[in-house]
Amino acid sequence: MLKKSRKPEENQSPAYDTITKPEAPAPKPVSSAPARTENTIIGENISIEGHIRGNEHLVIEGSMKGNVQMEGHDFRVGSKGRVEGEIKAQNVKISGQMIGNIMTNGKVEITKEADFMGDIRAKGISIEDGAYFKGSIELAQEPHRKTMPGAKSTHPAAASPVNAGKTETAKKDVKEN
Amino acid sequence: MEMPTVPVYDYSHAEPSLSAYTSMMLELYIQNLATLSSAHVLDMGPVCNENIVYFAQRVRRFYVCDLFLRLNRERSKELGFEKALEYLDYAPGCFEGINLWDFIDHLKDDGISRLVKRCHELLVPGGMMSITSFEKQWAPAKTHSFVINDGNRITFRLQDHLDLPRYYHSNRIMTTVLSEFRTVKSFIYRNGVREFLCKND
Repeated sequence: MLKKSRKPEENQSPAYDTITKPEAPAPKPVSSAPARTENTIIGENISIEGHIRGNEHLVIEGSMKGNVQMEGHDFRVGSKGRVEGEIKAQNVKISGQMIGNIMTNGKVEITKEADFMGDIRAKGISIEDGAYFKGSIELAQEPHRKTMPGAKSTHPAAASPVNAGKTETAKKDVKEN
Repeated sequence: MEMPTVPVYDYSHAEPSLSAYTSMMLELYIQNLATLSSAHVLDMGPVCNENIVYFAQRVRRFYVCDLFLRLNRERSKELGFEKALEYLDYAPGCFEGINLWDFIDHLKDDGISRLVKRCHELLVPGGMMSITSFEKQWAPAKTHSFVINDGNRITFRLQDHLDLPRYYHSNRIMTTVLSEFRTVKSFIYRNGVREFLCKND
């Protein structure tokens, strides 16, 4: 026969400690995970229609139609997730299907299982081989953005012997028409 | 007389080693895009992160429409290429550059004619198209992506998820299908890679 046994500490009220030992530090909560790192997971059997605005990370394993706004927090579409809408989040990871645009202040990661159609604006991007991608990418302008080779460069490396050597190697490999 | 398209069925020879090379075309292409303000460039795949980052850092907006994967998904169906072509549903004259890599090596002659015609419509006047293709004896059996590294050095990465037939198109056929463009420059490398840089005049 099965019995449920109570743990000894469950019988003990923390209030007793506070009264008998006032100098003792306040007991720490059992769940000490900070709210910032918590994920809300929309399970694979759940469908949502509507917008979501939040202050914690969100994972969609089910289906969702609507916009997501959670600047400062991460958003993820799991491998079975399906999302149609605009996403504004800190970092975004897509492993399922998504149709819609993404705007982030951080990085967008698209894994090989993903099927993505939409436009992305981000600081960084990573797309795995095998992912289906139809859309566009605009990387946020940064002061050290790459200079077009066509533009005149005053960078000392432009005239360095190392680069000159590379050009020579290239010329050896090629036959021009 | 034009040479017919010959499917590269004979893979009895050992898989040619795909040696890296430095792309002269890429350098020219990027130099030309630099003269076009706010360039919008389209890449038809396969999806390759290094190339996406490379172009996204250099142009206003970089578009990717992976026709390799679409063709791979549709190839068992009738009119598979027609279906794949439907994904190029962009407005005419909206790109300053188009990257084709070796996609044409997976199409028959009539397919590349239609694709090139579509690219011609999508490019702005003065826009450029870069095409890469393998010489017959150097063509790998499997599909690889052309990965851009520092100094425009190109390496190859196997795309195991793609299973596409490969066809060879002679230089004469290439010249014919590209007749609507002006060929700015073409290169042939020792590893069997051919590069064509064309301009929509």
